[in-house]
Amino acid sequence: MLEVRDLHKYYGAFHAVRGISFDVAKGEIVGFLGPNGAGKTTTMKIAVGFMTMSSGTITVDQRDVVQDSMAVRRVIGYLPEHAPLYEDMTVTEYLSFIADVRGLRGTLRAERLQYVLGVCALEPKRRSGIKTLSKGYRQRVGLAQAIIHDPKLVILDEPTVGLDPNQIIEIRNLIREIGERNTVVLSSHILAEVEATCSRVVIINEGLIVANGAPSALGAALTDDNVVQLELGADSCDVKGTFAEHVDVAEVLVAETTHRGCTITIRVAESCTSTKPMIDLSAQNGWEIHGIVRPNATLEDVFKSLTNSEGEPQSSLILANETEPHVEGHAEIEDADIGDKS
Amino acid sequence: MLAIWRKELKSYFNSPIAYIFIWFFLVVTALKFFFLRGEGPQGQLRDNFFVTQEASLTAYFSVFPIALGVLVPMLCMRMWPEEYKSGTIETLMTLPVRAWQVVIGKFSAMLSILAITFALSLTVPWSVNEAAVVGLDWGPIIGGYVGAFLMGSAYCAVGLLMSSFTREQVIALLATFIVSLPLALAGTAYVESPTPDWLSPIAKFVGFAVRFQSIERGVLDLRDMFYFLSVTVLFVYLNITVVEARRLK
Repeated sequence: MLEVRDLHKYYGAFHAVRGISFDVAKGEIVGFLGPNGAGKTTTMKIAVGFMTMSSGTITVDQRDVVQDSMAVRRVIGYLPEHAPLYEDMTVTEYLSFIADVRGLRGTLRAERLQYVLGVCALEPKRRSGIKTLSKGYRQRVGLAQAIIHDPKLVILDEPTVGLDPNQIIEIRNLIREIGERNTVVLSSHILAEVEATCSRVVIINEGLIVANGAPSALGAALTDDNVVQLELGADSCDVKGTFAEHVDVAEVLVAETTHRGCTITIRVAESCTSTKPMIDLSAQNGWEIHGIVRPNATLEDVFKSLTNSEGEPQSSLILANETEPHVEGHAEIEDADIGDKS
Repeated sequence: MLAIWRKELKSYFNSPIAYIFIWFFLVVTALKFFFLRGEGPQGQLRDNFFVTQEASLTAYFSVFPIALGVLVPMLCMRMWPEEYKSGTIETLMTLPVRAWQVVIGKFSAMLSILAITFALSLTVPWSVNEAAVVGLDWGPIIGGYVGAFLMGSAYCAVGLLMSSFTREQVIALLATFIVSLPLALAGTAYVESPTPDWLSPIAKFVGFAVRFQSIERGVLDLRDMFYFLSVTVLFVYLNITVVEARRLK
C-alpha cells in the first residue's frame, strides 16, 4: 500500500531524513515512532504530497506520490498535526466542504457524511461552530475529514496529542475501528498508544530507521533473560551482600529501599538459569518475597535504548515483517509468602 | 474550485470583513459624491452633486480608484495568512485540487464581493436619475462599472499575491497597501510634485487612477481594459507560482 524507498529530505543544509525505506502492507496499522524532530512529520508530509523529497521515492497503491500526485491524494486521507480546521465553519459545513472538494456527490455524499458523523461521535456537535469545540472534538472532526472519502490509506500525524486520557482512549478505539476498513499509518511519541493500536512499529531517530517490527517482538528482542527483579521484605544492603556471596551475580543493577523492604534488580551469570536458588536463599534468611519478575523490555525500553544516542554509535533493530513474537521469558510470582515463617 | 469559492464566500459573510468592506465602500463613495467637493486627479475642481445637479456619474466613479485601493486590501488580508497560520493549508493542499484551482477559487470569491458591492452601489445612479432634471445616460454608467470591475479585480489580484507571502494578516494588509496605493496614485496630481520627471511617463502608464479617468467618463478604452486585465492575470499567475513554491520548499 505504502512503499518508501531511500527517502532523503534536506531543509537547507539540515539533513532531516537520511535515507529511510519501509513498506506498509494493506490492512496494517503501523505506528511511526520517534522523538521530536526525528523526521516523522516530514516523512508523512512527503507521503501525502504536501512536500517534495530531496531524493528517493514513495509510492501509494503503486502510484508515485510526485508523478501521480492527484491520484494519490484521492486515495489518501490525512490528518495533519494539531488537526487544523476552519474555525469559522460548523462541523457539518466543514465536512461538506471536504466532501465537495473530494468530489463526493448526491446520495454517496449524504451517506458518507452521515457515516463519519456517526463513527466519530460528532452527531451531537454537528451544528456547532468549530471554534467552540474542545480539543477532543476537534481531533474527531479532523479524523472524520480524513476518512470521509473512504481512503485506502489513512495517515494520521499525532492523532492524540493534547488530549486527556479519556479522549485518548476514545480516539484510540476510533483508530482501531478505522483500521478494520483501511490501512493506517499514525505517528506518535506516546509509546503506550502505539502498543495499544498498532500491529507494527517503525522507530525513527535523527532521520534514520532504528527499529521496525511488531511491538512485542521488538520488546522480546531487547529483553535480557538474565535480569531478575526481586522485591523482598528485607534491608537492601543485607540482600545485596548475601546474594553476592551465594548466587552467581554478574551485576547488581538497582538496589533501592521501599516501604515493603527493598527492590533489587540483578543480572545473573549465563549459567544461572533458574530463580530457585534466590527463592531458597530468601526463605533461609526469612525474607518475605513480595515478587520475583524477569522483566520484559517494553516498547519504552526499545525506544529509549535506540533513540538515546549520546555519542554512542546507533544500534538498530529491524525485524520487518516478523510478526511472530519471540518466546517471552516471563516468570512471575506475586507476593509469595514462602519465607513467612516468623 | 466551486467548493473553494463557496467556502471563501461563506467565510467572508461569517466574519465582519465583507460587511465592513461593503458598508465603507458605499458610504465613502456616496458621501464624497453627494456632499463633499473635491479635486479630480488632474487638479480640476469638482463640486458635489447637489451643487452641480449634473446627471453624470463621472464624479462618483472618480472616487473608485482610491476607495478600492484602500479597501480591497482588507478583503485580501486573511486569504492566505489564515491558511498558513492555522495550518489548514496542509489539508487544503493535500486534497485532490491543484494550486491554480485554489487560487482561482479564492480570487473569484473576492470578485463576488466586489460584484455584490457594485450591485448595491447602483442605488447611487438610481438616485441621480430620480433627482436630476435630465435623466441619466446609462451607456457610460455600464461602461464605468465594467471598468471599475476590471480595476477592482486588478487590486484583488495584487492583494491576493501580497497576502501569500506571509502568515500575519497585518503584514499582508500593510504589504498590500505598500503596493496598491502607489499603483492607485501614480501619475495623479496628488503625487505630481514628488514624482521625478523621468518616472512620470511610467507613473502615468501604471497608475490606476490615471487609467480610470477615461473610464469614469464612460469611455471604455481597450488599452485600459487590457492593462487592468494583464495586471490581474499576471498577479494571479504569480500567486499560483508562489503558493506552489511555498508548499514544496
